[in-house]
Amino acid sequence: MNSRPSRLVRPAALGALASLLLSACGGSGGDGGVTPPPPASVTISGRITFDRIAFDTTLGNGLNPTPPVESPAREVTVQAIDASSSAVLATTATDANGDYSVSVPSNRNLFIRARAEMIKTGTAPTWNFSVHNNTDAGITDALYALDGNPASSGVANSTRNLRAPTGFGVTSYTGERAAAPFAILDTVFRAKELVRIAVPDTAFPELRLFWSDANKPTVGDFCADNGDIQTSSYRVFGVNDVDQCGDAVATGIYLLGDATATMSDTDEFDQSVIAHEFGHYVEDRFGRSDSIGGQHGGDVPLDLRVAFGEGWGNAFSGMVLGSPIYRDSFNLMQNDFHIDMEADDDVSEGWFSEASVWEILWDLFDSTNEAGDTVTLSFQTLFAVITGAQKTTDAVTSIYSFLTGLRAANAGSLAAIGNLEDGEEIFGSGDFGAGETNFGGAGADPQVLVDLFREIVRNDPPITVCSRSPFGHETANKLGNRVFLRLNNDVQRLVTITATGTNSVSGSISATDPDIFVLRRGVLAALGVDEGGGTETIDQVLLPAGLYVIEVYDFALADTRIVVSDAPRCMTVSVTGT
Amino acid sequence: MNRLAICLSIAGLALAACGSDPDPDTAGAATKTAKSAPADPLARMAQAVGNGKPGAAVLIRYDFSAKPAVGTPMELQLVFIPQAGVDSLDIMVSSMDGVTLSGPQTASFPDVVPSKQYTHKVSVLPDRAGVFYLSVVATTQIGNSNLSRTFAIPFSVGTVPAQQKAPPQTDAAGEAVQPAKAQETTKSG
Repeated sequence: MNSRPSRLVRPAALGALASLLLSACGGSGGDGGVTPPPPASVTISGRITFDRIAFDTTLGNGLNPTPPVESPAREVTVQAIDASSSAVLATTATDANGDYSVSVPSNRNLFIRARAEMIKTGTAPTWNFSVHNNTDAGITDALYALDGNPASSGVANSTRNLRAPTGFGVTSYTGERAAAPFAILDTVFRAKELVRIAVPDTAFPELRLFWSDANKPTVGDFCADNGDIQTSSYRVFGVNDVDQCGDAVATGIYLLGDATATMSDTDEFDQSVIAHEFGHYVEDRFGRSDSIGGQHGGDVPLDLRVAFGEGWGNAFSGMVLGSPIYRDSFNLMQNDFHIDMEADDDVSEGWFSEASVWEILWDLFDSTNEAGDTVTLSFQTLFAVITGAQKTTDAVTSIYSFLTGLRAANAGSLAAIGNLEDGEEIFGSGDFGAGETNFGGAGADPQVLVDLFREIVRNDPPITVCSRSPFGHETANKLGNRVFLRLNNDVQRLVTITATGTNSVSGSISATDPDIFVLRRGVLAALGVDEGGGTETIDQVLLPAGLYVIEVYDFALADTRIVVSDAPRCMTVSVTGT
Repeated sequence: MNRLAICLSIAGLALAACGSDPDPDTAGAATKTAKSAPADPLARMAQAVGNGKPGAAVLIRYDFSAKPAVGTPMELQLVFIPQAGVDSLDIMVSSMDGVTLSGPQTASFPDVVPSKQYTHKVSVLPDRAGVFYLSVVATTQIGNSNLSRTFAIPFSVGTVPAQQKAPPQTDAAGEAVQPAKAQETTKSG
């Protein structure tokens, strides 16, 4: 018989020996086992993902919900939260793959929460983007989040992966739409990266995005708390502003989400829409936007400020997504319409066309050159104009000011830029479009051009201008509705500006309610918007030396309570002063 | 976007406020009174004020023939006003649970004239009280391209008690959060 202890017996014998030794050393053993103390902390790692409903490869077929594409939630905040006390035990952020890792106390009942926010503080680049519910019951709009299940952190490292589902069933949404906020953030991530790569030390101003499954394209008032947001848009409000229902509102991007109607329009997966609105944020916060907003679309000739803003939005969207195709789903994602920025939209080309603007900007950026497009410039180059010359122009922000700034910084591309301009029938030069000959095609009133940045001289006889509506005047943002005059004020002085209705122009009627806005590099220096009366006066306003744009129009064009004809509504304008 | 843009972007009432109040931050506080202008036959109809994302170049206004009531059909008149450049217009109307539509729910208007009004009518039958929305999709053709815009037309039926929403959760820092449930996979060790 073999006298050696069996393999089974040996551990027990060793255990007894260990126990004896521990006792001898004053140890607290005695239960007969060796239990190493638990580690103070363990690591929980994992991946945060969301399901994206992607566009069908066939244009017009909308989004294809099956199967959803599991996508990383990039750079989002991740917290480990004590399930009992709700205390935040650890905070980190996912990387570009959606991966995270946190160190947490061992044996703690906790859950992992991914917050619908991307925050980076400290050394630039910095950013703070977050997605909120504008229709919740709180005073502050709740931040969306994604929670895992409470479970003990145990004594060993572990993995917890969280996935946000879309909530879409077979033909409609049937579950919680957890993916939506993270899908929105993902497009923001891409937009942010476009800018950050161009300018690595960018400090992004805070941006909030508002999405709710109650957000509808309502006809009527903008009431954010109800979800009546009219359409997806970037909106700027003052600190104490209220919406049309009297509720407090915040600046940010508002996005459609209601899917209860059979032909609903939702935008959380429409990356073009989100990137377009982010483009407005970029223009507003990094550059300067003089756009007055309002109704736009298609080939309606617009106020040149609106045309640039909307054209920039679309072009920026294409640059973010790396595609000239703008797609927007509707009819509960079953259809989409698209805009191909590489296709020449020649219905109404010119300095007043948002389509001309996006075609030029896209062609400047894209690496695919074709007839008339022989240039490829980096986003960095274009962004430098947005944050530079476009921001400081003495005129208003338009394709003129943008291209003038671009030319000044890119002498080697002058001919190519000129070709793009010619292709869009933009013939004016300089920030003020001097020498322009394109007045909007058939039906337009050529007087629109005569009144484009016409010079007004202090103490000269009054000049006559007209609010014109060759293309309608809905929301008073169409070509010709507003007249821009240029005042060169050589020294600081008090001036009086007067606009008085007159019907001295053949076929016109007197402006019944002239309004005056005095702008210095996009900033309102003075305004006269008194009610009615046929005359508006800004009396004895102190204007520092500088070049001013004086914008006048007949408010009757914008007054939604009355109907006015498309006849020119004219007024005399004068500037007097010492 | 400057202060003027703020005024216009909040549309409607704010548009009016911009014309009358020197401080657009108080938009909504005051409006101009129209003087010596003919009455707008559409003035009493609600107006869609589009801004933001690109869409069909068409304006919409609507009017119900009567106050909506449970079990009583009413006529909804829709007026579409295409903008410059629009060649043709197609519309679709749909409802949601609790509302039955009758009459043609699609219409086509070929060869439209900009700024002219095009009318379409449907009958709306609510089968219960509540707040409802009808969806209208307008698609315009300009040249070879189509653009669409969806409009939600709100209306309420009967006495609708104010909705009591549950207050949002707050986290340890007191911040309002709205968590959704994740599909979670775990692996120990």
